[in-house]
Amino acid sequence: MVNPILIIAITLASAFFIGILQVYSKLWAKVFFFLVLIFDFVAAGANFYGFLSGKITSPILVKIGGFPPPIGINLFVGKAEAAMGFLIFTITLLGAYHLARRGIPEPQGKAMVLFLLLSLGAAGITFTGDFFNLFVFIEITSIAAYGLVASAKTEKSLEAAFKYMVIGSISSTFILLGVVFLYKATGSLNMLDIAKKVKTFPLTPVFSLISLVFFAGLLIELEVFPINGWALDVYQGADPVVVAVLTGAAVKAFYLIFIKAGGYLALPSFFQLSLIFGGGTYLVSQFLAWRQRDVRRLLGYSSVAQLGLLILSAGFFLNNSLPSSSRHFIALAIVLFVFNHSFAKSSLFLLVDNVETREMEGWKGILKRNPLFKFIFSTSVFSITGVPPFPGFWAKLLLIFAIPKEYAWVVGLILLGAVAEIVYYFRFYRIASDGEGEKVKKNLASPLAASLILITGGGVAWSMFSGYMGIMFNSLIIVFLMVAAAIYIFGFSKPLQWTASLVLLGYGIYRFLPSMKANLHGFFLALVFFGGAILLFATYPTSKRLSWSFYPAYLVVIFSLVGIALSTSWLNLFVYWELMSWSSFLLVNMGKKAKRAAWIYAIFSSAGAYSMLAGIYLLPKLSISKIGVTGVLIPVLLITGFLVKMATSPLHIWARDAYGESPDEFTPLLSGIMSKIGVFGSALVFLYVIANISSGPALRYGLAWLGVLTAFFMTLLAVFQEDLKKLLAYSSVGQVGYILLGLAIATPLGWNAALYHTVDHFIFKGLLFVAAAGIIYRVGTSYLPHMGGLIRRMPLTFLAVLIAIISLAGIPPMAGFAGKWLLYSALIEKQWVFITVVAFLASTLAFLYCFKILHTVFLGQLQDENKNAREVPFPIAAAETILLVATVAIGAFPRLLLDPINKVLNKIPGMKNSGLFYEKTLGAVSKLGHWNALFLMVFTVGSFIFALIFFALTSARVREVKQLDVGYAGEVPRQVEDLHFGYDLYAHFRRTVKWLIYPLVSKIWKGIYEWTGTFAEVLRRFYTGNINTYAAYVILISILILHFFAGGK
Amino acid sequence: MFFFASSIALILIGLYAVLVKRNIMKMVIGLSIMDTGVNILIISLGFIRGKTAPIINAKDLLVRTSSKVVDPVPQALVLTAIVIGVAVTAAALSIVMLMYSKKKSLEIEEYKELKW
Amino acid sequence: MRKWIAITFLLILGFFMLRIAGAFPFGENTWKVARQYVKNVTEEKWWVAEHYVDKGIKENRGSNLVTSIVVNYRGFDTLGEVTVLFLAATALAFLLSSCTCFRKYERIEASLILKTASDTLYPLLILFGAYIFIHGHLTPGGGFQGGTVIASAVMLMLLAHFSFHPNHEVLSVTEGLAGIVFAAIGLAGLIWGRSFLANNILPLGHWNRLFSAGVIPLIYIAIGFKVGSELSGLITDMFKVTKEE
Repeated sequence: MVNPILIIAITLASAFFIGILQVYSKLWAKVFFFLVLIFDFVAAGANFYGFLSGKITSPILVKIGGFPPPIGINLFVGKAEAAMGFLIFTITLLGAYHLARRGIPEPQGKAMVLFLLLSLGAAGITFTGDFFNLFVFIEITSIAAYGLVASAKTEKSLEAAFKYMVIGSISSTFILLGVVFLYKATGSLNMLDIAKKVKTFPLTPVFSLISLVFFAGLLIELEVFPINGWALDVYQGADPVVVAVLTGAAVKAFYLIFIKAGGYLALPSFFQLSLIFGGGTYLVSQFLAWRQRDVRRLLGYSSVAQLGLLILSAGFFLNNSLPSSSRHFIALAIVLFVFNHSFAKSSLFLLVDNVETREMEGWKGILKRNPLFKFIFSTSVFSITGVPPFPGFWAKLLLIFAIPKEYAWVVGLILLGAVAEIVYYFRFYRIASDGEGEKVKKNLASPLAASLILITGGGVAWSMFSGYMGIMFNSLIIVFLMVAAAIYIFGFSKPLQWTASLVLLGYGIYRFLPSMKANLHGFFLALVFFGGAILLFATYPTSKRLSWSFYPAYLVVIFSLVGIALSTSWLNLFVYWELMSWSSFLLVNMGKKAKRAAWIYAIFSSAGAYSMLAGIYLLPKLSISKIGVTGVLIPVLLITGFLVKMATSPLHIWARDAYGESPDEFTPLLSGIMSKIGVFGSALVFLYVIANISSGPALRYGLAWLGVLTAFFMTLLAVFQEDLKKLLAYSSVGQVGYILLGLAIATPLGWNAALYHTVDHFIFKGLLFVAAAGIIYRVGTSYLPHMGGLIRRMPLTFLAVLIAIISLAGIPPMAGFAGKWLLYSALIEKQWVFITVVAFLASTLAFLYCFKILHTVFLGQLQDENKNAREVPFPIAAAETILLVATVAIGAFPRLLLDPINKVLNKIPGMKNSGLFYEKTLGAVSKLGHWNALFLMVFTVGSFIFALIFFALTSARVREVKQLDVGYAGEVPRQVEDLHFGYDLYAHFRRTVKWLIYPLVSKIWKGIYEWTGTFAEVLRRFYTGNINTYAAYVILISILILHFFAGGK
Repeated sequence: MFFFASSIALILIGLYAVLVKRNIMKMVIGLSIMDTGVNILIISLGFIRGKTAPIINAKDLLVRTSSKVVDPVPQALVLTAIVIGVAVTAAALSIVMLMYSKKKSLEIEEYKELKW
Repeated sequence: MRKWIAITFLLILGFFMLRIAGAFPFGENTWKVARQYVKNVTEEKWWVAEHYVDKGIKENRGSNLVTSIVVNYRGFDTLGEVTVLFLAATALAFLLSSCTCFRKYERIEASLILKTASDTLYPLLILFGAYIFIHGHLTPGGGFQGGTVIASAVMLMLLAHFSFHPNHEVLSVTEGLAGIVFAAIGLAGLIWGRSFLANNILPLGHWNRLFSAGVIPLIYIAIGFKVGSELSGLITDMFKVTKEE
């Protein structure tokens, strides 16, 4: 244990000493400066460690002057104070080191004194146990901050410092008045003593007013909306290093005192106060940041918002009516939030210091050429926005689940703000990762340290969280995730990464084989593992040009999927879900033109995930089993999250570009497996939640419509797509619509259809996307009018695509037919007439795009630039072959797939006896009819071979058309594409259904985004930049606080 | 009561300058006035009618002192508050001087670069 | 318009402040008032001021109770206060160090009266200042007041004479050393006495004597030096930027 007074006294004396030393030697002053900071760091660390390890059991009470508490001033250092002290000095040390490497502003000695005293003031605020002493330390912090904010001596920084100074003075006047009145009312200045007296005090309205004067001052310092204009200006105008220390250390000290004072003064309206100001600040600031162009101000809004969340949590923490376990959780959440925000935001501001420009546009592509910068930037951004496994994520979870259900609206508010936060942070991320930017300065040691601390903290938080929430994370999955991280860290060569990933996956299959039981979990687990292995195998040929983080992220996706499939608790599922979403975001973002798509993907994924989280929060228990809930809200919230991943309309708009622009190696997984895990989740919701509510049938009917409309519209859109991958994307989304429809029917036959189609769709869509990857690899484009005639160059791929398309179209004899047959049987059995009609229509439409793929890619004339294209490389061909064989085999013997599905369904109550049985001659028989797959297969293949022979004999009469032969006479060519035979193949049809393909949904989403942005931009004018106005806001808000929160008159 | 009212009036006058005056120098003066008001308020809160200053320089003050002198704590506090006020004013003035040296203006309208 | 809005706001704020202040009857012994309306008070010393007043002499032997509180009971505040002043001086020097952009002032020669009076008063003022802080524990005033008087002497000289340049290095070193002495006395208390800033490392002496009250006068002398040199430095800094370069 180090006596806290030593930290303060020695730092003070050293500040004086540096004042002398700088007269004689600048170097020694600097050395001494760092020695002091290191001493502080070590001493504060020792105290914190003492508390952590249990060596110090009771709070350290330092009696200054030797007088017992109410008489003399004393320092009170408990666990929280020790932790905060450590945090303050860590951040200061990081900031000081960064500053020293960049160059301390002249005159250096003075600047160092200011820096030292800033951290000292913050530590004093933290440690002191006396209200007036608190005021003194607040002033020390403030004056040091005024000086440092102005230290750049530019017009901007001076303006910021002046505003800070004016508002800071008003704030400290309030604090001083509050303290003096407190003395007058209680006869003491000692915090603990006052707290003790307040308990015996009849809490008169006047005493509330006194507390409120004090809290009004603190709330100004805590930058609550709308009295935070000065703070935003400081963030924008001051030296980023100073801001890093201010927001990372000083403001946090103010926050600690806010909580402590809230506890000591027992203000009855404290909860309302913190709820309104914290919640309001949080929500408003998250939106105000949307259109912000200045990076520093954007980070400022974010800081303010985070602080708002902290204030909100403080209100809950001090609310006595909450059970003590909840308050314990909230305390933990607060610790994690503070830790997370301090390091992440400091690190971001230190990064900002490395970039010359203030405008966000100047950050364009900055991540590309600066790998270390990218690592730090990503870590910090992910951490702040609450992406697992960083501490912010766990903090959010802990906080949300500790909030009692009667404040569910607060949870809604928190999650809404979190989505808004992701919108603007990832807009920033998108701009920073888009294109090739300049190299930046390389002063990255401090931010790197901060991000490493964050990662460590995330790991610790994870283990802590598991303990507290009683959720066991499968240790094997954790190990696998760690191996993925190790691959990331060590890099290796890409083929080696590929090999390692395959080996890991193989080992995973071996270890998880016992878990692949005949139930829903085992079914999807098998799909993930075997499907993932095939698709991973196919990525080899292009692996060399992939980003070095491709395989690690890929593995994280797969093992998160495994985790989801194995989850027995909703919360556990959610954690893996987020992990999967964000690692797949990284993968999508690796596409060259995918930045915008990835951004939209991130927004939709997280909005969906938070909706799911809200649903989970409302569930009476967390285990995935039958749950008695009423009302339609919970299932809707839950299923929204899964529907986003399935890209069900109207949540589909992310899908086209995310599929289309993501790396070709990743798209098969995205479509083939990740959308299926949405199916898994939806199935769970149908099974355990929707099945038990009274409005279940209506909800199912609604979802069925959603599914079928998705199928219809996406198919329609696919028809007019001119980009191979985007076409397949729409197709994929549409097909998943059928699966949702099958689930929503909720009869055994319907589920049979859904599960069958799940696997089947993986097979043919995986095949198509793998083939597309191969074709694009050889041809170099995914733009359909640049292809054609590839049948001569890639016969195997042609065959594979042909079979896949037959399967997709649901034509017998391929595997797809059985799915369609089952679905229609189920629909007819259910007697949903209109839905059936639309489903039929959609299926028919699918022929159009199926033909288009085949026709435009493989048939016709070979383009000149593709003359040298060869068959796809071996691993892709192998994957194609495997999937091809699977399609044909299941087509001929559907029981290969139907039997396991029936086994699964038999385990589910209410799904037994699917009404499907088998006969030797008739094949599969349902109530409505039968089909004999093998016979069909033999028959069709036979006729095909017959036709082929006939065609071969007569092919001499076929005339070869020239390339760029115009297919439609009378059209006026406007551009080169018009001359391609396959371009705008369905132009006439398109004109007919123009009104149907009007992009209504994307316009609506875009409108929501734009309008919110515009609204925020207008609202932002509220910060006029005029200090008179800011001061007027401060006075107005103080009056309101005094009027509305004082309690009884 | 008069002391309370007048010291609060001083605080309000100071704040008025901060809220209304367009000249940053006048705003700093306002802050200074506000500080003075606060200091007077603190002192008047410590006053007890009919008691003497808390300086025990006579023998008769040594016994039952608490019934003979005014509350010394606010006086001690105000000493600190005054010094802090001076310090803030000094810092503020140096910032104002620098601001003036950059733009040659003390008008608040000139200093609205940071906003929104 | 703006004015009236501001006035309205401020009047409402004033109303609330007056409401709070008005709850404490002016000029009454609140130690008694509080006792009347607070129930269940078992502690003897409910009001800390009572302790300071009744036990102050016994514990510190300083006649000036305010000094006892400022330097001893609440000495930590004073250490902070000194730091604040130091901080302000540092910040000012830091910010104005490179400020060369002021237009040159044509300074008017000071009048003969000012010059002569300053020369006469200068040593007297310094002596008076020193007297104030040396007797801080006995009479009204103390380190801060004494230091301010000394600084005013310096200011007078600066106004009167162009050629008057207080040695900046000496001022810096003095203020630093004085601060260190303060902190060192505190630490000495930690090592040899009860606690940080404890007043039991030196004999307390007799009441109402110059050599009494333990470390209080020492600290106040250090503060006197510190405040004097700091304020002088501050004023000098401000003069410097307005002088011809």
